[in-house]
Amino acid sequence: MTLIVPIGPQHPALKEPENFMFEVKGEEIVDVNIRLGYAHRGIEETLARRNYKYNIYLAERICGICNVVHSTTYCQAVEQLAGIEPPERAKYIRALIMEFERIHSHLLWLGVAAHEIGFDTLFMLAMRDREYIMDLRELISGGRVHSGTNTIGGVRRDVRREQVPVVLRGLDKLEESNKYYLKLFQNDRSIIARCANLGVLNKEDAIKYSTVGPIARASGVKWDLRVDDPYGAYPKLSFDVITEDGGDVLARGMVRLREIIESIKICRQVLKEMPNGPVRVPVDIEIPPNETVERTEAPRGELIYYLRSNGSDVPERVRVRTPTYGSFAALKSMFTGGTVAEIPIVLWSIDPCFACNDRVTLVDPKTGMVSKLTLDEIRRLRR
Amino acid sequence: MELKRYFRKKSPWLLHFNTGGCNGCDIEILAALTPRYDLERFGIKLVGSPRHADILVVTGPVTKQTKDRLLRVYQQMPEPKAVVAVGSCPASGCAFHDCYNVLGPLEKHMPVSAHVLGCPPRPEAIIYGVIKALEKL
Amino acid sequence: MNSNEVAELLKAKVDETKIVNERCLFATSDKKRLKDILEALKSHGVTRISTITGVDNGTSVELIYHFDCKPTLLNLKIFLAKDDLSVPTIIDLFPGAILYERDIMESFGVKVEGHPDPRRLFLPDDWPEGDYPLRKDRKVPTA
Repeated sequence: MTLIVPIGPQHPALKEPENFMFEVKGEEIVDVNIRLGYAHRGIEETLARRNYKYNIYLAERICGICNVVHSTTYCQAVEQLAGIEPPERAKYIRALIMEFERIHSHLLWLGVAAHEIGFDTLFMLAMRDREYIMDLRELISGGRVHSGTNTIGGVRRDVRREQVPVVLRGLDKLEESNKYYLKLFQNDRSIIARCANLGVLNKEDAIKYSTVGPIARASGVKWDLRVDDPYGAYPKLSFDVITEDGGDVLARGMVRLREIIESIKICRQVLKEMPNGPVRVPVDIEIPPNETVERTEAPRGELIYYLRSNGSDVPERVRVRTPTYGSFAALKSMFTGGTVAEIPIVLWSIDPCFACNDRVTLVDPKTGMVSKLTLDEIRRLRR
Repeated sequence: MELKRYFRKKSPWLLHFNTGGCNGCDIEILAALTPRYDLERFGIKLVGSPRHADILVVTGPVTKQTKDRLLRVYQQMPEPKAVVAVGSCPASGCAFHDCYNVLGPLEKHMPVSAHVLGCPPRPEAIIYGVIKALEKL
Repeated sequence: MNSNEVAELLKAKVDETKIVNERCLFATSDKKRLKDILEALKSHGVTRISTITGVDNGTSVELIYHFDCKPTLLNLKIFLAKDDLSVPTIIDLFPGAILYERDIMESFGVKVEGHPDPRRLFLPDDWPEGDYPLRKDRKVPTA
């Protein structure tokens, strides 16, 4: 006799609305059903109704945690359609902000994971350290969360010479605290007891279900788009691709913590090797008919944008496939056989971002008055 | 009666509900709990159940799928209660104003005590908004 | 495999190929030869499907399958006529495609034959049947 345990859409363990139905026999999980669509706003079709410039801000707001990588991939795709190349300095600045985002996203993961296993002290420590990277993000891009620095043809703000030593000092502080977290994950008995051998995904299943990002890397699959299919400034930067063999929650945590150290290495290289020059080129946004596919490595995995243009200043079709979408197929094999008590931490170990997930598309004409108000609002947001 | 009102204003408990936003405001609410901004020095903490909460903090544009759950959570909270709408999305829809699955501003569905505008607003602004909502309690 | 090798592998089974650069190419084919193409890719070590995109271009619905061929990205286009919107499932060869096929079923009304779980994915429960949001010929319901 199985019992169905519903989790969500409002639940203290979840930061976003989603609904999971776990079928349990006693304490053991037998099956899991996901009901998505709570954060479904209808973005893909809205992207096909506004012009290319406005779409940068909508693409950024698909997800607050990985917003820079969304706007960078979108701008790279539009630049590919228009056949122009942004200047070298812009590519390096984009790489810098994307690595800041990777550090902030992994530290947020660490904090909430510690909260899920009941280790609230580590939650507070990780969030305190995360404030350093948020300060650096605000220094370079102007915003703590949504940066708004990307534009078609480059970036909008330049990195000034006096900001470089501030950034380097912040990175040193981050590296020191990260080494402490790595030591904790390897030696602390409570973390190992609550994370080791849970939610195991072995290498064959990781390849079979086409998993992406740190989940695949924690199961031994060495795949990182920054090295395998490089874009932007990454062909000139050198760093390691981190893999682990366990495939469990502890391995995924170790992959993410080690990636923070690699990101700090990349940021230091960028600041040292950034060439001088302009940061944007002018672009005519009436783009001739063309189609392209762009993919980048978001903090959670592979992000793909498919864009098609039709000669006007409004895209014909924009298709977004976010990394969390690619991780769902493997969810069932991670949960089956486990117990109810481990649901929050195993779920959080795939680092789900449901806002990224539910976009698809829908249309509804609103009354004229509302459109006028919101157009002003968008102009205000753009400033 | 004055004594009761005075004590209600100390240490309200918050319930956070995300109606389908981009999570920018949610991580700023989480950042408000952390050592730098520290909501807990006011006695404010996040709770898990609507039955324990005094203030409902709503983020995100209200999507069709979450509207029923949102109203149910609001009705389960005991009186007196206040609602704080964090971000530009519950105020007007922000960038998603003309998407089909988005149902318009939060004020159409429930009374709102305070709006904290921004995309996303800073943690200091969120704390100020919660304190302002307390005055209506 | 780089773009030229992938194009060479699929030469007999596709109608035309367009090589964008050494790590990205587009290929067009039809649904009858889809299974042969997938088996050829599988036998050369391609195991990862990135996503399935649908586009309504007015006269037909295009389905674009994106495969990662380590490191090339192969974008395979299949044209479906609007009066015959059905395509066989590919989850026996690529199990990772299970959610993408549900997505195109509810957005375009494409029937994926053999899918074990044809339920709604993103749209709300009270969305009307037969209303496919991403089709260009959709009549927007007056609110």
